Amino acid sequence: MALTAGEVVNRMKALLALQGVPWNDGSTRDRFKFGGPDTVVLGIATTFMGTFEAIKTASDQGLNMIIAHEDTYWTDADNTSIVENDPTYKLKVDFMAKNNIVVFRNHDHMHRQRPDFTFVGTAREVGLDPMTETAPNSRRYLIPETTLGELAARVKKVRGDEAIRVVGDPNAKVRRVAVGAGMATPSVQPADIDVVIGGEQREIEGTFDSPEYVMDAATLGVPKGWIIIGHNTSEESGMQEFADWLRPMVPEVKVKHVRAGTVYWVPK
Amino acid sequence: MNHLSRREFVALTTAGAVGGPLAATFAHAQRPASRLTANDIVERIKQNVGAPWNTGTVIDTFKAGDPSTVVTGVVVTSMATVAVLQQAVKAGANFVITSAPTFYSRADSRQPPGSRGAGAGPAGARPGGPPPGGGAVGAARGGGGAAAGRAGAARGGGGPSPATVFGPGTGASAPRPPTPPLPASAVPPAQPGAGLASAAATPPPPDPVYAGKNAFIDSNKLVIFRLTEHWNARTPDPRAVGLAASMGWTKYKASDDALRYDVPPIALDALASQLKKVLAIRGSIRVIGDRTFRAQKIGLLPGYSLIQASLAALPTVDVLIVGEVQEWEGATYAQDVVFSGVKKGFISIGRVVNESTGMQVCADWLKALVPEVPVRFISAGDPYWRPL
Repeated sequence: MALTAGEVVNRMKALLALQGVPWNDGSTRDRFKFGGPDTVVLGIATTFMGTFEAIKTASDQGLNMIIAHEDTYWTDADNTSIVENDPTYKLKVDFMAKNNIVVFRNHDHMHRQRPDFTFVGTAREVGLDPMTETAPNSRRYLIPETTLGELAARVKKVRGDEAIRVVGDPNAKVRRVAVGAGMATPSVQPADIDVVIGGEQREIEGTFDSPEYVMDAATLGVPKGWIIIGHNTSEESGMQEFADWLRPMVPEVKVKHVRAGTVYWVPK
Repeated sequence: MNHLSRREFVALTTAGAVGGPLAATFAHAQRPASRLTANDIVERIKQNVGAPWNTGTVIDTFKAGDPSTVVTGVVVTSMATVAVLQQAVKAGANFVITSAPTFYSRADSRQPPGSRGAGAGPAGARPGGPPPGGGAVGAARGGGGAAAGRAGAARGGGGPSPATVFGPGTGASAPRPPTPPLPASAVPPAQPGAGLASAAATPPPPDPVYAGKNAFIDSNKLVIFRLTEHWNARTPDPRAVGLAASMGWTKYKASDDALRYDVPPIALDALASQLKKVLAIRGSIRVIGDRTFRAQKIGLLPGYSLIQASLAALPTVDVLIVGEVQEWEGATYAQDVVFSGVKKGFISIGRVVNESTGMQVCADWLKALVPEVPVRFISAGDPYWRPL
């Protein structure tokens, strides 16, 4: 009997429940975004976001089910009413229809899992040794003392992504690192954090405006740093862990992590 | 990590407050002595800003200092960082008008959120509570700011154009997971006798950044006013006007729309490099699109924009220059557009950099409005840098 997308989702729900994360039908995020439970699955791609690039790359490899951590239609709510007249939306939807694509989002439930793969992925991706995590799932790391400049250079080198942004005195001595994924980038203010490495956060008028705080810290000689690697960059790598978790449950098909693509480049 | 005492902070932050190369800048103006107060200046702003003043605003209010202070000079800035305040004092100014918050959130409270102790995040407490540590909090508290609403409070009226919403976010943020505190055993005490382990018994030391900034403001008797929602509600958007003027695009304005410019064809990477150079950007600028694509029609989306603004603007231009968008909205939209084969460019220059272009215009406007006192613009610069 052919494997359907509904069956894949059911097995995912069952394993999550077994691991202490019962499925919440009230989640507005974790739903089918294109296609539905009856679509026959030929292969599965996990990815950060249902970008056109991720969908096309998966489809080219014969993977017609996309499990994306983030949205597909450029808003968290995947509100299609605001995009339905957009030419790129039409191209994307036409491509998915023509290629028998099914997209399912897994966001809220991933973040409720322990470990949360997105945080594990971020830490791995920026070169933080898991052995230096202060406690299981603390998302804080105690690293040998270094400077903010050296740490940022290391993060950039390991990541290989140029659009990294750093705030703070490059010579600030740092060793207590807090890691964030996506918009869940923690505040840099607590006394027991030297550096935050995170995905994305509002520049000003956020919950806490870390850039200005770190600029002032630098002027006042308080060692603080803020390293922002991008929302995509911070959560993409955890989709590799998610693929590894999913694979044993669906032995009928290939499960592969496909990258949603680089968002930004930087000018000289 | 060293925690400086408050006295050390005062010494540190007031060093260089007198003397220095800029000390005589305002004295040279040789104006007759003015009795104009900060409040007088704000009243003139309210009368002349061009939009009805939202009397209920918690955004455009005094954030520090005594509004009845006689003003010696005005500094207009994108963000009143300690570095900007130091430059203001060196230049002889005591009134600072800023676009961004001064105290690190929309609430703009002089006290840090919650306790200064381990693991205290901003989500856990509301500003305006009793000041932790007490001593570092300024006595010359001005009006307005303390009553500022919680971070994320709904924006008052008189906001910018509908396309440019700088509200508290989209409600789209992923839930912020709690950050468990570091076990006390893993962290050496912040200072002898005041370790985290004894935090329950001893009040935690004051946040050194809040303390340092408050001390500098108080010891120099500075007055700080935030001007953003009314300033950016002006038509045309001052941030667009300022950016275009800096880039030499004013003459290329398309049909009287300050958000559209038809420039001589330029490759996307050259355009981005030019923006970076002219606006003195370090790490803030990021680009999507084919580097060699030659653009002519430029669109501007000043400030922070939601996806609707990008959806409306990008199809009508070659390159869209934005202040700030959320990555999974405008940026991934542009990524998809470019991936689909449509020739487009998308350049994010950064919110603070973008506010700077608008406040430069504000400084020029204010010079004419308050001729009695010297007015100068000081940029907070680009918060970001990039490692090699």
